Amino acid sequence: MKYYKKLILASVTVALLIAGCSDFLDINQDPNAATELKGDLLLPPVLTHMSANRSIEYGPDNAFFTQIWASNQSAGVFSDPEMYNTSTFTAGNAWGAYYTDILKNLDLMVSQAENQDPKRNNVVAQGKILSALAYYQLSMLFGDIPYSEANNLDIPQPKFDSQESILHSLADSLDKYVGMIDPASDLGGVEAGDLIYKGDMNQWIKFGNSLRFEILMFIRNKDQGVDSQIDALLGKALIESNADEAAIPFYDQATNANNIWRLNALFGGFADAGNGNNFLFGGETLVEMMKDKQDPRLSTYFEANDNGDYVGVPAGTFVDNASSISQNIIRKDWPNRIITASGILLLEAEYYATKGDMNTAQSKFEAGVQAGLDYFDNKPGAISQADKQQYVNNLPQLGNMSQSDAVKTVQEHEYIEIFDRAPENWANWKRTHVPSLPLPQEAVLGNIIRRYPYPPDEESANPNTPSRDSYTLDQPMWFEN
Amino acid sequence: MSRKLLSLYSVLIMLCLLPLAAFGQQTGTVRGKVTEASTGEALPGANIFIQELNKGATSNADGLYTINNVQPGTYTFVISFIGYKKQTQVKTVEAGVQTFNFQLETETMGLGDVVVTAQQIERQERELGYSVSSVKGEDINKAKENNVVNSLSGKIAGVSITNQSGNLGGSSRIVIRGITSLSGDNQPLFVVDGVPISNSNIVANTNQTRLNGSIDVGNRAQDINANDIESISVLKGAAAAALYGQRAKNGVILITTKSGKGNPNGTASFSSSVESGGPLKLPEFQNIYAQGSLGKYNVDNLNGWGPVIKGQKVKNYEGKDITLTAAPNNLSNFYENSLRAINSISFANSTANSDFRLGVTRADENGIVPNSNMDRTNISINAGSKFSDQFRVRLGGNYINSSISGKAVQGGNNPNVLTSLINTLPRTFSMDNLENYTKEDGSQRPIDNFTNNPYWIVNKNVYSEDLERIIGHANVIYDPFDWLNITGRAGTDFYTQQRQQKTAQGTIGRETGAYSSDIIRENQLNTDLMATIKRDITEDFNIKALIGHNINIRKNQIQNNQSTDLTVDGLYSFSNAQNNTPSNHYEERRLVGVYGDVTLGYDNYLFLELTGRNDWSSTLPKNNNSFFYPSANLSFIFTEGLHIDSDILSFGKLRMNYAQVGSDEAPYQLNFRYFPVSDIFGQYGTGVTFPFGGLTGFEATGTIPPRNLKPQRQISYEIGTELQFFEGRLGLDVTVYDTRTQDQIISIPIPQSTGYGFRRTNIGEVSNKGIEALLTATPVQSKNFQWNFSTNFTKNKNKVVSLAPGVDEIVIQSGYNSLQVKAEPGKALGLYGPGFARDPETGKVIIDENTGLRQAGEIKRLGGTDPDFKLGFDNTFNYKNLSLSFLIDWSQGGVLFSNTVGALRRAGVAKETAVNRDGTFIDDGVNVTRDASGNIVSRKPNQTPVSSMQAFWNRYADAGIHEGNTFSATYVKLREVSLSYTFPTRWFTNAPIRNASLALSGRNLFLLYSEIPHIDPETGLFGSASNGQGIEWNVLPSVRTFGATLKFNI
Repeated sequence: MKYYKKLILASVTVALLIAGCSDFLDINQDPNAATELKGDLLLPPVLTHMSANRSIEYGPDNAFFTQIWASNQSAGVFSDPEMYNTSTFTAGNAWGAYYTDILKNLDLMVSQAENQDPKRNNVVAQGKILSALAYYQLSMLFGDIPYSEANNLDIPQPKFDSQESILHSLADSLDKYVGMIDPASDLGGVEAGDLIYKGDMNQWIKFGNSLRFEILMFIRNKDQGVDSQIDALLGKALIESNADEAAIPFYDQATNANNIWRLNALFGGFADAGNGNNFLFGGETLVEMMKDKQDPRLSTYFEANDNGDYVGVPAGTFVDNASSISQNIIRKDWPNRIITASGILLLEAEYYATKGDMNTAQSKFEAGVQAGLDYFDNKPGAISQADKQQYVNNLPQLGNMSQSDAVKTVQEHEYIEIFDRAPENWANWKRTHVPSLPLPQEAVLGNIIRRYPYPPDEESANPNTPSRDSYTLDQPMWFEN
Repeated sequence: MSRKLLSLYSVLIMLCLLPLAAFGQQTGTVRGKVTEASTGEALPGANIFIQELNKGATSNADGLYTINNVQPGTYTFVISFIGYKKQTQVKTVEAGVQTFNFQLETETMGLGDVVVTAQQIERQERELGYSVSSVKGEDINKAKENNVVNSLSGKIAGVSITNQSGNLGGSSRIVIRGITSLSGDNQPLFVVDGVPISNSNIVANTNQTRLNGSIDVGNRAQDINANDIESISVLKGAAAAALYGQRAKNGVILITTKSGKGNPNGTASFSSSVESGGPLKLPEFQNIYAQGSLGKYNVDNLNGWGPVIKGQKVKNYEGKDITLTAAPNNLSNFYENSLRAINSISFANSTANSDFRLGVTRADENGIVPNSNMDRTNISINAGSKFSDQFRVRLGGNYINSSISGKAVQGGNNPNVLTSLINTLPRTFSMDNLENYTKEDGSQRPIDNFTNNPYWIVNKNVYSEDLERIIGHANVIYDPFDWLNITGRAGTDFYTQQRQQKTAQGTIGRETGAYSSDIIRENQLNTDLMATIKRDITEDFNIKALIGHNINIRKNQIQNNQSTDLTVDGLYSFSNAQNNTPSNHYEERRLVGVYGDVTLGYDNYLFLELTGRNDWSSTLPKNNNSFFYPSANLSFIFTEGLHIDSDILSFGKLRMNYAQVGSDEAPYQLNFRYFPVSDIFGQYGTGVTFPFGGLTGFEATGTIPPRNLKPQRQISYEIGTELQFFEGRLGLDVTVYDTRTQDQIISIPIPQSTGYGFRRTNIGEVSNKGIEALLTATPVQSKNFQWNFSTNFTKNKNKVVSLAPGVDEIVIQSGYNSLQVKAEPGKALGLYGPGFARDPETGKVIIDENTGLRQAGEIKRLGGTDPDFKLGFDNTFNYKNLSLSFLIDWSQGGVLFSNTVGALRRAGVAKETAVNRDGTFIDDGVNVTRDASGNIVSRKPNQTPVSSMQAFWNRYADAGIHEGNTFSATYVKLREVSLSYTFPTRWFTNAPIRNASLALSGRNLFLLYSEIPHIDPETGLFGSASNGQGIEWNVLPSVRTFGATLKFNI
């Protein structure tokens, strides 16, 4: 009897131990992470990743490539890309940020909004417009990229789609998703987390349409069949006033400040009254063009040198006493501008000029230049009313030129206005080839650089990546003429 | 009548007295002679101790001893003497005098040795079917090492130890039988008195990453005080560790601390040592050329490519006129001599029913980096008590308090990295000039616009670590019957460490100052409850069966704050910062295990042990969180079993084992998680922080969580033999093993265009095959002189057998510029990076015909990161009271990439760059011509000289071409020398001091052979927990020390 009692006792103990086991071991939830989340919370980091990449990761490179800025041999990390010796980190960081930080989180936000009942269409539209923007920017940097098979857990090795098919698909997708926006709906979009428009869906309509217009202008370079779509679009709401500009803000606070400002702040830059390290200078091509046109934005963009002159730096060289980029631009809250009113108006002017409608072209042209100057009102680098008026009044008359000259004139102003917006500055030059850019001294390529190499991580993990032998970095993009 | 009566009375009285005397002398007297087994020589000074009575005696000059007043009974006699194997014999003492003679054998391999094995179970070594190595406490303590892992280096076969850096409290990596886990921890389990303890090497926010601003944070097992260690057993394979479960798959380092046993009269021990030293190896410089470019002086260049130093007058960076003179010792003048003082005192006492030991050690050290110091206090208590014949309790605790300040920042991408500031200074810069690191207003006096003054960095931007730790255990041992034992053990290890990195305002690269603070807490609780049954089934057959239950809980918590933009200079407080970014991290995991062990013994020469263990883990999927793993081992002492009686072969044992170990996953990996964002990456450190614009934000995980995860599984086979010859004068222990680890739980890299960088899953197999051998010999043994020699050999062949379908490689650790440690199927872990462009047909380097310079080529495998083999030679010479020992450590093979060597060469300050500056140099290679598709069509030997040696070295040692800076990591080091003198005991016959010794020792003394210039090949950037070895990047030089130790007992 005693023996049986002991056996029962032992079994009960063991049973209790095992039963207690499963609760005891059920602790595998990370207390510092969430497993479910309102998708709206994913948006702010998406936007700051985009602004970080556009401003500091590939921003300086792109400005050097288009000779808008120059390094003036200030540091190896800047003078190397100026000669087209790009860093694998730049390409790799941008690629990784766009796919894994931006596009994936946008997809998660969109699919949560789609799976809700009722569907939050405005959120879907916001997510899809930003995704289109991201793919557009990536394609401008790399050319052919994974798109239709990207960001799909069922496809472990996405194929690379052609730039042509991507741009077409983006234009169509934007049409669809802008059409989904309903500003009057009770189900708003993302509001607080929407750093660009704080949930104003009317502005999102303008943003979506303007992005579509931009993309169609690239396609148009090769395929004027899209003109009918552009004509229809030009009747719709577009970003034509500075208040509607699409930009990702920075704030007047040291750790929320523009990355370029932070660069100077960390390395003793000219935040301290001009005696620090200047890394970024005006490119000679832009400075000379602006001097030639007597553009009042010279003093907004650049610091006069010790002699009061504006001196730009030819790519790949060193110029003593050159003009650095001004503190009007390198400041804590200089936003990361994506699509500006001036940019859209000038594109419209260009389009109308190619269609022969010089009157409309002229009015859009003047409105575009005006908007570009007006942007700085009440900001550091503001231009006086008199100077603005004089400049606009003295703009050339497009009707008095040949069509090609008129287009070129507008494109020169695009070049001046687009300034530090990357990759749009580089992409627009590839589309227009205006102005003509001399090859930098000691450039390691034979022609102006057109693209980044695919990152080694993608090459090693994805066999669909085009091999390094199949392309050169100065090979023109699909949309180039 | 009277005389007769008197004598009769006398006789009667004597007869009466006799029994009285006999009663009074009902105790026994034990006497005898202690001799040496092989020579028969008397052994004076040997200790004969009766355990149960806690009394004993020492043999006299003739080897004779006497113990009086021993109550008749059966006792355990312990006979010991330094240099000889301790003997334990059970003898029955009767009334009267008896003679027990003892013969002691010289210290050799375990014939009757008792070894501490898993679960603190002491086993006879003869029973063990697996390989165990033991090191005694005094051998560990011989040459004072601050990190107990380093003190094992070169002493144990199968073990590979790499000291990572010369920092105070720096880490040391120990790998037993090769790397088994591609992504997990490959460090063995450290157990102190049965309690598993943390050996972590945690890189947290203050340390940025293992690459950027990397700091060698040490490995936590280094907190153990060598002075408190009685012995260390190294259980090498899974078989030896099956009872500890999965954490022991990489082996177990079993540390037993000293107890108070064997100190019946109470002993106080004192030890005091002083060590001093400096860097083992510093770069060799050219001291001929000043700074500049192409032979012309240029104040902006911090290098050695300028003109010959001839006393020219030039302007320095500050605009002052100076005369150029060489400062050949500038780098060695920067480093200071290290000084370390270790003082220990311990009290030990034992009675028949209890023992007690208290040890206190204090170590204070100044390091080679100016303004660096470390102090550590260890308090150790070990107490045991016998409540009754059946019931015993033992408890112990270790308290550790350690403070380190001034570790050097290594790696890159951080303004506080130290060695890159000092290694490539112009040869004319003297430290006297740089020592004044502030201007009159207190701001920094930098080296130039972009370069911080190293004295500013070490004095103002101090990194510090403060640790408090407690390791404690309590054992309850109950023997209700003589065949049954029940043991319960609970142990805990918890510590809190604060790390702080201060960056002063005015530091270039962090102008507004910064302050980072981590509080790290680790906490471990482990309980074991075991029941053991021992029975003799027949006269020859016996069986031991054990069943046990284990619970293990581990917690890890990190709280961090990064402050930037300080307001008041020098005030490192969160509220003084304009921006604070806090973050926190928490991890907990629990394990429940049930295990059993059955050992069958036959006639004391044949043993079979079978074990089985089942674990339930909190980190595996709930429906599949249990896994079982068995092992079996066989020990056959064939000299006894086959009745081999030879003068030559005195002992022979054959061991075989097979073991499986399963292991689980890291916590929290199973769910799809969204993490709150605290900062966004921005190049050059420019990233913004969250909250951004007052908003919080979240991001989804970058790793796809695993589906249907299984435990990782390791299967190993081992066969070995222990042979002794000539009665122990020569011994050989050889083991051959094959270990395979399957279903590795790894995050495999996937194309980022999927939106994720990694997928976590079970894949792949890694194999380790190798051989370990230990040869011990006593070549000379005479009355006064003895020479003991041992050599251990380790050869492990690591191979990544397979990864996942479609995965060609996995990056284990990345450095800068495509330098990576990778796992590729079919190969051992290796170092990869761009090499020189080579002509595939001839294998020669391709040289540009126009410039005469080498070209960058493809990324290639630069070599394996593990050594081909390791060999240690340990010699001890004993002459009377003097003992001299030295240890030579030889590591053959493997490669090391050194950024320090590359930087020295690119800067033109390395000695080899002075050659040919005024002459011509034609590099050995070929010029090639290519066709339109880029294929090589012809080649000819290069005849084009380089335009300058500056251009040559900048290309050869290019930061983006790693082949030129990768070297064979073969080295031979004189690791330890120790000369000790034990003062004759007759000096102290009237003094309270019982014995005393004085030792002179040196550690990490000489690089007898190395193929790498300028640095010690034994180094690593990423720290002990990283599998990314073979990379040196601005690592602080290792330190050699000399010192003296005085010990005495009262």
